[in-house]
Amino acid sequence: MVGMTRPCLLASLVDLAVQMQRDADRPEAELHRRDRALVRPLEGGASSHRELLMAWLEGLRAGGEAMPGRSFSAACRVLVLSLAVLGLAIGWGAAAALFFYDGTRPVNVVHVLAVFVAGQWLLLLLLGIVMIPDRWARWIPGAGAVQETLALLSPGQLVRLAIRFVPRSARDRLAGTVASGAGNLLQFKKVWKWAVIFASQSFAVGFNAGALAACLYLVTFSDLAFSWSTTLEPDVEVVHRLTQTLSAPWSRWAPDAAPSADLIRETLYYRQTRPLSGAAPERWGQWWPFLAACMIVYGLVPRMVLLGLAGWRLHGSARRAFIEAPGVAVVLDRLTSEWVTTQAANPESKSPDRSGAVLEALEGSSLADGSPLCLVNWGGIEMSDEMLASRVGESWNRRIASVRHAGGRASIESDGRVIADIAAATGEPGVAVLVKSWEPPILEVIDFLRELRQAIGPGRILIIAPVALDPAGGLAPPRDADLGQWRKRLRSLGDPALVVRGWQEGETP
Amino acid sequence: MSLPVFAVVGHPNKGKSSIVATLASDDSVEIGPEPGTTTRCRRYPMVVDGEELYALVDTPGFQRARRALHWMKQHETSADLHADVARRFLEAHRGQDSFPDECELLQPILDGAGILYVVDGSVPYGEEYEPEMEILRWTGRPSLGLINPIGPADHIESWRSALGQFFKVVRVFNAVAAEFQKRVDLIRAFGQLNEEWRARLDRVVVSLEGDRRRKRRLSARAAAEALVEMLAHRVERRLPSDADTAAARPAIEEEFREDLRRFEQRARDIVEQCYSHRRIERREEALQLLDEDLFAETTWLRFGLSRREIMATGAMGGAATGAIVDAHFGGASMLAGTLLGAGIGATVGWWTADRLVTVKILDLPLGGKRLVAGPTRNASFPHVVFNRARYHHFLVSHRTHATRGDLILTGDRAHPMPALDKEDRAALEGVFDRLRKRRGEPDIVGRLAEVIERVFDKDE
Repeated sequence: MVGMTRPCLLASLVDLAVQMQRDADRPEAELHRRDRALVRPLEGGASSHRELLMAWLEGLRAGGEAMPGRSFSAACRVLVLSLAVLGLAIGWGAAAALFFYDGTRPVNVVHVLAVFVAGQWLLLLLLGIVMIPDRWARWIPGAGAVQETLALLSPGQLVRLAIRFVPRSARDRLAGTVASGAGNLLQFKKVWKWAVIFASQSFAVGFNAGALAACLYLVTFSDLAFSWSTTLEPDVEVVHRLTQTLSAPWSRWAPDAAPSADLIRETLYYRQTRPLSGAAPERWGQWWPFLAACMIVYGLVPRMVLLGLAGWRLHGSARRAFIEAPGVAVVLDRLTSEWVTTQAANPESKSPDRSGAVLEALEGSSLADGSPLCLVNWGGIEMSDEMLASRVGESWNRRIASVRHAGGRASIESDGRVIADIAAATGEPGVAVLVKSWEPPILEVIDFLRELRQAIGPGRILIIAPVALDPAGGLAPPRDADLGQWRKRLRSLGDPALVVRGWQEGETP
Repeated sequence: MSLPVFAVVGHPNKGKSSIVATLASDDSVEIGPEPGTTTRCRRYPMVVDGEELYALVDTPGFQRARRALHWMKQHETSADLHADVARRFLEAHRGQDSFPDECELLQPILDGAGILYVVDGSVPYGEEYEPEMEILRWTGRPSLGLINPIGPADHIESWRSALGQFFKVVRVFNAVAAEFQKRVDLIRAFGQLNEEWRARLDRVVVSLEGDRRRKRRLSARAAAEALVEMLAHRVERRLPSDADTAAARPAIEEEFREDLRRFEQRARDIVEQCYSHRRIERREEALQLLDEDLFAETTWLRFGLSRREIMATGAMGGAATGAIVDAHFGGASMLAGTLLGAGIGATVGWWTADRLVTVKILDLPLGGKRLVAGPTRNASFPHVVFNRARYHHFLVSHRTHATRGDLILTGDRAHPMPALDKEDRAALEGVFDRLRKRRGEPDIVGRLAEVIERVFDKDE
């Protein structure tokens, strides 16, 4: 599309996956021809396989293939933004609830720390375990089990349950679609993993930003009182050590954001204590810098770092998947290999049968015993005239009156003379033409037989004897296939006095 | 540079179409024992990325060569004008009944094609061929004599000496048995006919060799995909908890066997398509299953829950309860409550899973038995499948397109391939081992395809 910018990597990856799926059932030759035609104009211009694949997808888009990558990518952006906004709202709401103060009970910093530090770090720990690559998880005790257990909690598991409640008619189709989607997910496992982490971290960043904003808003526009309270045995020293540890990252340059032991002691709140007694009024509000710093350092910053890391890894895994995902090698093979074809473009037309109408009863004609034969050596069968006459005469029990030569090296004029001589030799009622059985009955021999028949008239018997040669150079019976060819072809002449007989020792035609 | 075109000419029924079928890798060429199967010229261009590099033209055989030569001699003026006479012959007889085949076969030659004159080296030389060769000489085009021994007898030497008198280059080329390298050598030999064609024909050879390698790659991939699919395949049936599983086994086993056969046959089809064999009829023994017991029996539950999932759910519930106890002791219990709770929850989950299958809700059982056939565990099975694929590839890749008849992979001729060398055997066993142990690898098919391709390369 004119003016359309190149889609982002994730969009191209989706297009690639969809296109590979679409091509799965198409003939390889057809795909090869299409794809080479698309990328060949760029040959030498594409600096890498990635560029080549991008160009290929661009070519397909230009050719009218519907590609969902851009829409998918836009939907992802909307989703990530929505999650961030949702996180912002929930974070604001959570902070507003935890920092709620109506003058009766002070804000309990233990709740704030539990939700915005401990709770988030527990989730971060689980996320960290999920992020451990498979090859490392194998060596960390329990990591694999936790990963598997967390996978069971995936909302994706509900799909199987949902399918069971779909009408039977649509169930198989839906299951197929889900399986195909799962196949794609598996193919681009790492990409999806980082995409999901990126989306979840955008929610988490929103959540922490919302909570921090709410905290600062309430601190600025309302008068909050903080205390700490627990049912367990409260030990000021332990709590002080804990807050010191938590504030270690900023205590040097922001000492006010690290609560002192006195503040901790003074703001301890008991159930039976009268509200806000035991400390100066301004002391009850001095917890907020510590809480805000905790929310920034232990909530917002790690999530922002993770968001950045997930974005970087998402891009990296998408780049790698683009050229390394299963199936891409086959596409690249098509793009980089020449498309070679050597076959004829059109199917062969059926050749007409030249044998013509088959006439039966040709074999019925026979020659009276003892009558002389005129022999024609067609095509130069390599045997002397005497030998040929003697072998044929003895075998067929005939007198060979003459041996003549036609075809082969003989000239057309010479063939004409042979025909004239035979026509004149009326004392030789039969004419036998010996032909090489291994040579096909071409038009040249057919022409000769037609002319001979015309010259000798319809009454005289014409015997065509296909002969083979044995290794010693003697006459031998022809192969059935060769004899069959001669028979089929000569039948088309429709000559009732023409007989085709394969050479057979002692068999009289 | 003119496009190299070669007209394949000769006496009828001497294997011209077989030569073309083999060189063009086209099994649609009509090859028949009857003379005159080819009556019209048919062009077989070699096109690389849309560019035509050379072409073969199959032609009808000479039918009236002596008469045609007779005509030409009658119209001869001087030896240097022989080609003109041939052209005049064509003009005089085109579209008429007297010399349809001669006109058809001379047309591409007089248009500039080189001549490949084909004879059958298994039958004796005959003087009737001389007019044909003489006519071809009259055209003045570069020519090559090709002896194609169709039958078992050997008359090659007599043919070689006869053809040597008419053609500058004479080659023996068995169209049915020619291996790929011989086909390439022949195309290189075409380059000897005309210096101008040599560079382009060298490019043809490079492209053909590249294409051949690609065919091996695709075939190896198809074989690898089928193997991975076959080794992972399983057929599952859900039966009521009181069903007789022994009675259900034969039907499931048959379905499993049929699925494996389908995977294998699909790979066979792909390999044959890769090598442009579209008409092969295969005869192959059915694949035997080697597992003594292919079946595993477990239970299943509605809502997609497996026993493991129920166990995990129980463990998590138990752990959560135990964690509350731990919290009560302020951590002094050293997570004993959590661990104990998880253990108890898992055990209860495991025990409950078996009991749940018999529970009925609204008269529908909550679960039942699951009978699973496969995946096959036999260590020899992947080797058997691989050897079958290897032998099939060997036969297909070595089969010329002039060969007719079934592709036989059964009986005594099954799998007579040489043993693999040590390196390939180890690589193959490594991949099979991974497949057997279901150890995940992102592109196991690609890895296996690489090894198979290496074996196919060596078979070549």
